[in-house]
Amino acid sequence: MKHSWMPIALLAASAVALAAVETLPVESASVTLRVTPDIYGKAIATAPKGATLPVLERNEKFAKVASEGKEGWIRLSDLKPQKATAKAGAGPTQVAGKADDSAAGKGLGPNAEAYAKAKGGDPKKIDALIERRNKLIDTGELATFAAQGKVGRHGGK
Amino acid sequence: MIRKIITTSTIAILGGLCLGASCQKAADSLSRAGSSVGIPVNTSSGNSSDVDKGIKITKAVVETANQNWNDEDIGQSVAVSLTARPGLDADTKLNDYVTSVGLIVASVTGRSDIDFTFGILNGTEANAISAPRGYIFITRGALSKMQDESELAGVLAHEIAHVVKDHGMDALRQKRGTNLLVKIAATAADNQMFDVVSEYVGDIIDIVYNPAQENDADALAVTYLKAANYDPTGLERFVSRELASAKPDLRSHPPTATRIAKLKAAAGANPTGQKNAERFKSVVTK
Repeated sequence: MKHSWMPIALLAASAVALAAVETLPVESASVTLRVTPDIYGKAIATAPKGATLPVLERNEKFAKVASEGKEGWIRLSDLKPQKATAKAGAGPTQVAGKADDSAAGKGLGPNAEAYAKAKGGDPKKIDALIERRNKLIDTGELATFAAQGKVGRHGGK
Repeated sequence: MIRKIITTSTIAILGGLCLGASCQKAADSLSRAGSSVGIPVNTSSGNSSDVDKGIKITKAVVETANQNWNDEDIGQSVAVSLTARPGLDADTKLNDYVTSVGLIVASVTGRSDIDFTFGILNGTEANAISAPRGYIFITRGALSKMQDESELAGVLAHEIAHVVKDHGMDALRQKRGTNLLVKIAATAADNQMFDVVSEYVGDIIDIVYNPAQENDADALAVTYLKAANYDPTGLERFVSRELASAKPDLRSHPPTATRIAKLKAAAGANPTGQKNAERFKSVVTK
């Protein structure tokens, strides 16, 4: 009887492992999965807005996800963080990622916003520059630009 | 850090390349963007008891006011200041172009942890500016004096190198002491935080890199140009042309002849790579 606990323990451990894989929806218009956690890395797959992707691994700015049968890295800021929804009797809530992740790469932080309010300047203009940069990368326009000019890490190839 | 690429007076714009007689005026204008006012900042950093006290205060402030500033906050504040003065050029096509060239260069730095962001500043003076954590600006005036894409890539590469090497924050620490963030947070308790930040913003805009930092940025820039398959003489050609009528800046950039010689040597005897002059001219109107 002592041995009968082993499979149960293994099953329980597997269940815990499965439950630990979080899934998050894509918030950006579309995302490109890349081989490395690097916005300039080789593209291997895409995922549309709203697609729910399993997050297999993450670092400070990137998440390794799976889509189209392939695993690759996207920016954390392309995923919509799961917000805490504390309800009475609902048990512990899960908050996926830091709240600050949602702002990463998408705009200015609260300190710069506050500075602008106190000292002048327009944060929205910097946000526009950041959005332009992200658009060029995400839509493939940057890759096209590199190829046409024969420049970039691989000579535009 | 805003720094002059080329300067004509002994007052250098920090981090950019300022070319021509308008440098001082540009420096003044950019400096005003930082509007350094407010309380004096204690620049001593060697007293451990003061440091300990500062850290304790910082922790208290962070816990109560969530005002934990870092170098990215400072970089963002510099960027925001520049939207007020001298202001940003809104030309979408031109911004897309400059950003694309900048990102191409940034992609070879191996620093995907830095979100490089590029913008175009109003103004006829030739200048370029970088701020901590990857905010890089170039003036419309500088663009108008360039002849091809490799020159633009060269100037942006020089600024990118300053960011990669964290020269701006180093210069700020040199001037203000090593406990910058402690001072900001500690000051927050007195509601004078933004005055201190404003001083730092002004410092970054006005910072004068030392010749070693400039040489470092030049050398790294040429390395980036080669890695990105741009003509590695781009920076040297632009600097040579603009410096031809400029006086040497004694405080910041290395002596002209020495600087140009080093840039030429770094580019090599038989430089290859793309200039993309036609593409540049189709986007950048004089």
